[in-house]
Amino acid sequence: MLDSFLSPIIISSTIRLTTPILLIAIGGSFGQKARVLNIGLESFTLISAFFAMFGSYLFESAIIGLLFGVTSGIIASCVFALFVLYFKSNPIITGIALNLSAWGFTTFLLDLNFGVRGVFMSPRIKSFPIIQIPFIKDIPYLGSILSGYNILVYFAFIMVAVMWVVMYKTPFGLRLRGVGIKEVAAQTVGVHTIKYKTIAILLGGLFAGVAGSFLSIGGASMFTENMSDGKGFLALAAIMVGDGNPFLVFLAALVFGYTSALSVNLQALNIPSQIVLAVPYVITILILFSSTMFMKYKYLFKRTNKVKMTS
Amino acid sequence: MKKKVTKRISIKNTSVTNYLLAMVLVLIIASILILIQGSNPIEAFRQIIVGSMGSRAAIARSIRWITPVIIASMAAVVAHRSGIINLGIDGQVYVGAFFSALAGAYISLPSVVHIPVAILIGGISGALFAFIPSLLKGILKINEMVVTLMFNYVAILMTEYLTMQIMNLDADIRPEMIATPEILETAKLTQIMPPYQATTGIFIAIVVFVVLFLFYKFTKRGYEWKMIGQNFSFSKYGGIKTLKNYIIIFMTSGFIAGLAGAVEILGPHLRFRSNFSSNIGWDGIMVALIAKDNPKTTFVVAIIWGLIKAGSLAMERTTSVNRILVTLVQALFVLFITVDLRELLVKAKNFISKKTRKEDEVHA
Amino acid sequence: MDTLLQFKNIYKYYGDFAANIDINFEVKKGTIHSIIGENGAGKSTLMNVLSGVLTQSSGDIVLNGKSLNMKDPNDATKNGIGMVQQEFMLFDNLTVIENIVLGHEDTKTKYWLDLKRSEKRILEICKKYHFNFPLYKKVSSLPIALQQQVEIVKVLFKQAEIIILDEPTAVLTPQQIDGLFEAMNYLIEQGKTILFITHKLNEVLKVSDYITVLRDGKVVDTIENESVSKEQLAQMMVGREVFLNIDRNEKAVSESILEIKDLTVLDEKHIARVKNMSFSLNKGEILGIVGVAGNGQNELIESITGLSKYSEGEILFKNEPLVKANPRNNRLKKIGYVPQNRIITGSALNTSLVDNIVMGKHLTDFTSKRGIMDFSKMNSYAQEVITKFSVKAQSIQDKASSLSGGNLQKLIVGREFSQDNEVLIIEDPTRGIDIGSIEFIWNEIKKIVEEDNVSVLLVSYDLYEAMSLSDRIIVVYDGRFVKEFKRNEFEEKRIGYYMLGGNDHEKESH
Repeated sequence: MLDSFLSPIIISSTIRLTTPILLIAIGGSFGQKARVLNIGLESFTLISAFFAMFGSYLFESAIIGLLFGVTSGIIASCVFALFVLYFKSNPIITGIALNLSAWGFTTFLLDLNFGVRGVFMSPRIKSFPIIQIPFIKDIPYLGSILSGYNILVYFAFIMVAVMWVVMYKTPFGLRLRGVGIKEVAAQTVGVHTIKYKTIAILLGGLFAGVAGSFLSIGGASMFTENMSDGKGFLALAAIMVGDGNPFLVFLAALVFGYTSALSVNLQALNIPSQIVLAVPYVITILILFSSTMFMKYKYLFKRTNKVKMTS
Repeated sequence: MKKKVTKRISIKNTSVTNYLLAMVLVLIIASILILIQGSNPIEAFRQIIVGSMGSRAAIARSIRWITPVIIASMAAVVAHRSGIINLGIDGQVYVGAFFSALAGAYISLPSVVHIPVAILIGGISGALFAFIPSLLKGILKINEMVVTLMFNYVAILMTEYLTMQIMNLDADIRPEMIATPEILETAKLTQIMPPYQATTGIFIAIVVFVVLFLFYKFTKRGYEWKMIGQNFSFSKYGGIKTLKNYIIIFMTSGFIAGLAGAVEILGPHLRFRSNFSSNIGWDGIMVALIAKDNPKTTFVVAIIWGLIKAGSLAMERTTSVNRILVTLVQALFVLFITVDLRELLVKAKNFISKKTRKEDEVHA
Repeated sequence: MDTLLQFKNIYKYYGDFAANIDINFEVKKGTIHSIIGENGAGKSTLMNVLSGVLTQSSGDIVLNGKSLNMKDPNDATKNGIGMVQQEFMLFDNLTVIENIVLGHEDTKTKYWLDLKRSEKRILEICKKYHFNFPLYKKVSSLPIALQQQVEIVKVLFKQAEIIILDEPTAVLTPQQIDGLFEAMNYLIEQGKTILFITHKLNEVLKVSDYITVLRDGKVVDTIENESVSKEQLAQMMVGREVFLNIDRNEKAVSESILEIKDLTVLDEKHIARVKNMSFSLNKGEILGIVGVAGNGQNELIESITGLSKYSEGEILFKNEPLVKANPRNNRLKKIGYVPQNRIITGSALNTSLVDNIVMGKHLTDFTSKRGIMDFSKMNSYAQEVITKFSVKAQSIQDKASSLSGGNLQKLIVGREFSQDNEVLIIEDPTRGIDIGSIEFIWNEIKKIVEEDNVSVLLVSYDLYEAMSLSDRIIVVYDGRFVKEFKRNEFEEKRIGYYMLGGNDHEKESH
């Protein structure tokens, strides 16, 4: 039985299902660290899913599709940044409005360009092909887990490390975190806080763009209405749970991906799919709860520090 | 100790000018999109009006759609007025719908009692569903936005699961087939314009509105709830029991949302179907936002919203315009009124005149 | 010593309010130049202008003969000016070294943090100035004295030559203060110049080379620290033109109505802000609590009014323990409160005057059995209050935001004074309002005490106000009760002396 929980099929499903949430969450981590409310991620993802499909359809090329997807994601995030940072609109209202606008807009364009409701498929839509890594693919067990995904998947996982480095090893990341911790302190050391927040939002749009592209042209070669279906919110949950640390966020996204992958298997064990699907949401709440409790009462566990000097 | 003025989820800068400017902007965008789609905007707008008010069927359709929008927006009003961001209204609608569907199908009571009981059960289940988020925010200060969003998904999944359990359905059944049995005759709301779907639910909606209106205007509790939303610290210092009230307010919002679900089931749907709600909760939230959480204005906006919703269904049938356009336009409207458009226009005008003045100086 | 820095005709306005008026003085290189004054005298504003956080409305800052045109903190940093703010500008969750370098990081190839190089530079600085703290721990885990060292090193890391310290000793113990002064001397030895902002006279006399006294936004004088006495400085700081006169009737002795016993209050970081304070408010008297802001008054009042918890001690009302942290109970027991912050705690700006006036009284009045409010009663009550308390407004349905500061304050005073309260806690009631309203409010306070026998606990940051109104004054310093004065003992210099940290032992040795 343990067998089936870690079987190659489950693991590779996990990786595939984790990818979109992971991508969105990586981008959104910057916003989290800069204390920008990431409500718009869902809309960025949906918009880029559509345009990625659209670009791929027009030019019969997955790469052009990706270009379309990422660009549209960034543009969408520009709109969000414009309203929230420059017009000082309420981010929650802006996010809600953008999410509904994205749904309306993409569905409208779907109908307009293809005369279709619900699902659109076409041989012109090219997805990213599956890559089989030579040598590795032949290793038993590991081979089927590490090889056989499209490039966006590898990109996502590599980006965890890259973004972690950016967040913690570059001046940009340091300043961004400072902006989020105490904006006024960052201002007094001369950091242009609005600029950093804007970049954070745009990064969110960029990665959501890749995520959206993955959804439509990462193998599915189609676009369905409301394709993002809450992945932006799940990513938001992962971001909050990991508090913007790319590695922790990755772990959270992995949990979500894993439970989704399990749902098929668990149905065989008669645990209904709905319960399994609900797990990520419940886990988010539990984690928020425990981390808040921890914050509140941790002073009880602190004794006076014996501070070790380095000089 | 840091004191914060409650940050209400409300729109500032909402002078009438801004509403009008936003409306003009939005109509322009809508017209452009309709033109791109190859239809006539005037015709589309006409069809919306005709389809919502131009015939007996249209009026009945409008009543049918106005009903849930009014109730859901009242749920949002209650939350927003006290500084609570309840994004879980949709989920609470589901929960209320589900349990009222069960009450309607499985309990046998004379009609006079059956309907109120089923509706109350819907409301109470919505309230209970809002209980945990209210505690998490009230006591632990956990952001209710994320929690209620999560609970939305839980609600949809949970009600679907329970439906399948109760109906003993197979896991691989078609999604449209996941539904509870039809409610008993005694639980059905009377149709006021047969054979169309408008029911006495509209009166329930009006009652909800009237009760809330009177509540906020005339009662001590209503005053306190309003003040909690205006300034939490001030209310606390004024002696209002802020925590207890906070939780009650949150649950009341859930209760009303549950009512919306119940009325949808006992009226048009007659059974609980998985994924039945066409975003009623989000409609309610947007209406309340547009109306600045004022009960009277919300009522009016809800009616207009429902009319547009009904009209768009008709428009979709008679023209080739996709009614999703209406959703898009409604969302854009909400987006635009968050900005002080008038101020923007003034700034733009100044900018342009400065530029032309500079050019004049150069030429001089 | 040459003149390094000059302030020339500096003005700084916030709207109509003038925080700095025609500031002129010079700072010599290599000196510790203190700037002293009461709260609101304009010290912090001026320093924020110097450090680039704010820009002056007019006037010049001249460094080494060159006029500086600074638009942001980076400009100040480039000119070698660094400031350690009173409220630390530290990033709690980041490490010490990250805090120090943020914004001016050393890098390898421009995009990669080079903490090793920064570490070397920082250790050099620490060695030079005898600072000692761990670099890789979270800065929030450090005790406050070390956090302050980090703030100073932050400034030195950016190669500051002029270092501004804004009320640095506010959070230190006497021993730590000595440590700070030693550090300041090391800095001077290395050729730095220090601007030292404080309200504590001992310290000023101990370390300064020069002293500039500010009052009400203006410079009173700049003097060399040679045979200057504390009393002289105190007089320069707090002396003001008498413009309002309030006479109080003599007060007969009475029993206590509100008693504070051994009260200790901790802040969020579990540091004691009120330390074992005990005193009584007697029936029918005005008891003034004076002290420079930040010496525990806020925490004291929050505990009494029930807006936050206290950790030790007792509060007795009419000889019975008052329920902790329960503002509702306070209201029902008829303890009223005019809060310091009109906008955050005292009112709800976005609602009508009526809504603001009935708050608190609504618990017991205006409501019929079914919980329905009687509007006509509410409205006439509101109208009465507005008339009686001279609130200039067009209609009681206007929003509170339409009122001027003075009128809003009169409304708040009116509200609390009209609820048959037996005790009134009044906090800083006349800050930032017009003279007419000040006079009105003072008279109302006098009236309600002398005519209605209400007891008033008055926390004031205006010594003149406290002296005019109070029957007794209690001086608070560093969270403790320091000295009590009876009305016939009121003397500005003496009270000021205790407010600024003076104590009886020193007095004797003078």
